[in-house]
Amino acid sequence: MSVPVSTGANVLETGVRTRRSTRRTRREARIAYGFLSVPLMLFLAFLGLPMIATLVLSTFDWNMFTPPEFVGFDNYARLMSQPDIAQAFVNTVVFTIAAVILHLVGAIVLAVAVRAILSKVAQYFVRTTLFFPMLISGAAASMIWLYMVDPNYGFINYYLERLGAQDLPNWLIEPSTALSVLIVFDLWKTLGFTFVVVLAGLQSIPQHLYEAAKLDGAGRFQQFLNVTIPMLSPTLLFASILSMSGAFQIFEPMYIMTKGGPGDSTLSLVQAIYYTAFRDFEIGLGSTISVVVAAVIAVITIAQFVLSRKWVHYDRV
Amino acid sequence: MNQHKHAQGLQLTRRGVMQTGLAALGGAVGLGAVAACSDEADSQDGEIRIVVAGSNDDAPLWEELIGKFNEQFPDISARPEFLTAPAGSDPWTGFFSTVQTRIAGGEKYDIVYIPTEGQLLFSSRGLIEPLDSFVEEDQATVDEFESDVEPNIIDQFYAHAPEDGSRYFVPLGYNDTAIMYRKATFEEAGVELPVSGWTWDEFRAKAEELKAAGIQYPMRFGTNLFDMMPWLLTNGTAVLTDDWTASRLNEPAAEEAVRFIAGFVADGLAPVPGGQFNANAAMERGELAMTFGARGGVLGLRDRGVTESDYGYVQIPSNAASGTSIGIGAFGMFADSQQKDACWSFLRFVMSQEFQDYIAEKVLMGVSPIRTSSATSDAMLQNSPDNTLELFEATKTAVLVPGVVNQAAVADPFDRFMTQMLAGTLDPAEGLATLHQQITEALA
Repeated sequence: MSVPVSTGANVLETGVRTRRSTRRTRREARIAYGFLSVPLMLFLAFLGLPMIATLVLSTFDWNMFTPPEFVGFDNYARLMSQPDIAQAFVNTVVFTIAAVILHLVGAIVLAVAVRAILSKVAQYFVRTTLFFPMLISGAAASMIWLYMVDPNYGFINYYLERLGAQDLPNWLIEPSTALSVLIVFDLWKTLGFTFVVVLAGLQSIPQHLYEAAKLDGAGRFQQFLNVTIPMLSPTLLFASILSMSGAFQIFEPMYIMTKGGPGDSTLSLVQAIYYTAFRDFEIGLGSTISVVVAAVIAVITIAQFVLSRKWVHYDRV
Repeated sequence: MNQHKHAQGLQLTRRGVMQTGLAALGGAVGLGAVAACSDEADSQDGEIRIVVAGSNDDAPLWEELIGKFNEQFPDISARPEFLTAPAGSDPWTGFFSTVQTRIAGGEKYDIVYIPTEGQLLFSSRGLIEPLDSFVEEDQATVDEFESDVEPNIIDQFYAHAPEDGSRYFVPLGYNDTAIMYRKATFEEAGVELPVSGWTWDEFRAKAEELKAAGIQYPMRFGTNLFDMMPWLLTNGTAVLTDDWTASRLNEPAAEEAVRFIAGFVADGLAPVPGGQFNANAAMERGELAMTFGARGGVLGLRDRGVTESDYGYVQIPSNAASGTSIGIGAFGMFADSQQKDACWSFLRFVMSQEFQDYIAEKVLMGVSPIRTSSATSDAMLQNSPDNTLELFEATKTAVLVPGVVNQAAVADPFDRFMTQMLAGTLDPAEGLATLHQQITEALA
């Protein structure tokens, strides 16, 4: 067994290389830190500091004009006794569950259907049509829907009447229908995004898996159940997290179309934050609701990741 | 191998990232400080900034008005700034929120226009400067001005001033509710025009006549405090007690009034509230005969190029009593204004006959001038709908719209629940009971 012996020249050469390498490494690291500092500064200025400020403000009673008063966890205790906040929480949870389920199911069905369309032109047309509502501003889209469901001149009721429907509801004025209209509105407005994500996931599934399944005697439904869904599961996890966090922060349609009514039947949590902080100027209580909403979204997201171990497959083929 | 070494060399240490983060934090804080300094700089611009609800469409009228102001006070520069409520919010609550948010964000204004609904809100937060010392120095001017204001208006204005007894606002005009009708629609239907002094029964009968003659909607009702108050008042009740400390919506007369209006909607005599019904367009098309109308309605007519004399006003019909709602628009100066003497000069100008006659003629801010001499002048009555004088006559029995400190907590649920009750999706007894409870809690 021979042991390599370094000559003096080799040691010197290696030392020089190491020093050069270290200098270069340090220089590159400095450049990397420099690049890193810009997004970090933006993150801290626009997300980190406001998050810390919100957390701190939730322990104060402050109306923005008089000096803030430290109240500890009083705002959290107050939150428990606010019936409109409780109602907003229930509304938001119902909205979120409905939105996530409808988005995922709708996006899978549409993506599978669009993929089955043979004509490329037809595929482009359908994809563009489905995605188009995403491009309209939320406020403008809400106004369009206000006209559609208008109790006096809305064309939805007009055509339903033409089809023979009777005793049609005043969609946004009845507590039993207002939230449903908003759920359908949200589906129409944002399904396009989930659809595109799922379609991309669907297109990345290797064709040979279907061919293998066919050879094993699997029918179309079994292929869908045993190939499509498992292979799509990482995409579905991603889409469900995005849909959930988006739905939990819903604001625009409620604010413009129903103002939280009838009664409090469509009041959302973010709307409650806005009203509390910027209409009633109870910044402390508004911050408290924000902290709770952020915590709930974080907990649900973590739960989704934990549960995903049981149904999401990251296996590569 | 080299690539591997290179990759190793680029690994960032935790300490390094933390140090970069701290440096970035310093940068972020520095950015905030720079922004704050620039706000400070903005406030030193040497002119009085008047913030009003409106849009830049109002700028030409304001330029003319400030020209008149500068004829009397050539050394004072004044600039109006127009703010609108965010889309989807109540116009006044949204305006108040916008102004307060801007002030909290460091914006500096000198004078603000606030109607009744927000006066206690702004003064209670210490935003508005008490005017007592200025009034004392110009007592004769103020006395002459107030002697020319209908006593029922000025008495209510001071009755609902802050409890500290100070004077915070100078009133400039009012809006009271009447019914505006389109004369041609009545003529085409062969129905006689309504006349002030009429009753609920006559109002209902006239609506049925119009409907029978083919008019789609004889009347349109609003659901907010200002629009619904007249029906409560003319039935001998009100939304709140006179001192604005308790709800009166649990009184049987309130339920009777709501049922009376809901009956119009149920019988197709009025459009369902809560939608996008465009009353102005429907009136011009002859589909709507009557709607709520205050002085501000004239602005809408002028904007659309409609001849004012094609329309007319009639007072709200009475049942158990007479009455209507009134709101008083006023200017106040901000407590942190650095130019208070200049601001007071502008407020003195607001009280002047010249200013009051100008708003009578131009319908500036959409209000009737608060001086009786201006509100009953030719400038006010000419180029206006028929019987515009009824707007002034109605002030004698009008009741101030509530403007409590937490106004939104009263006004927002009122609007939402009233929409449901008038639309027939909530029984008035149940709706008023809930509303009464919510308002009671808000006032507690």
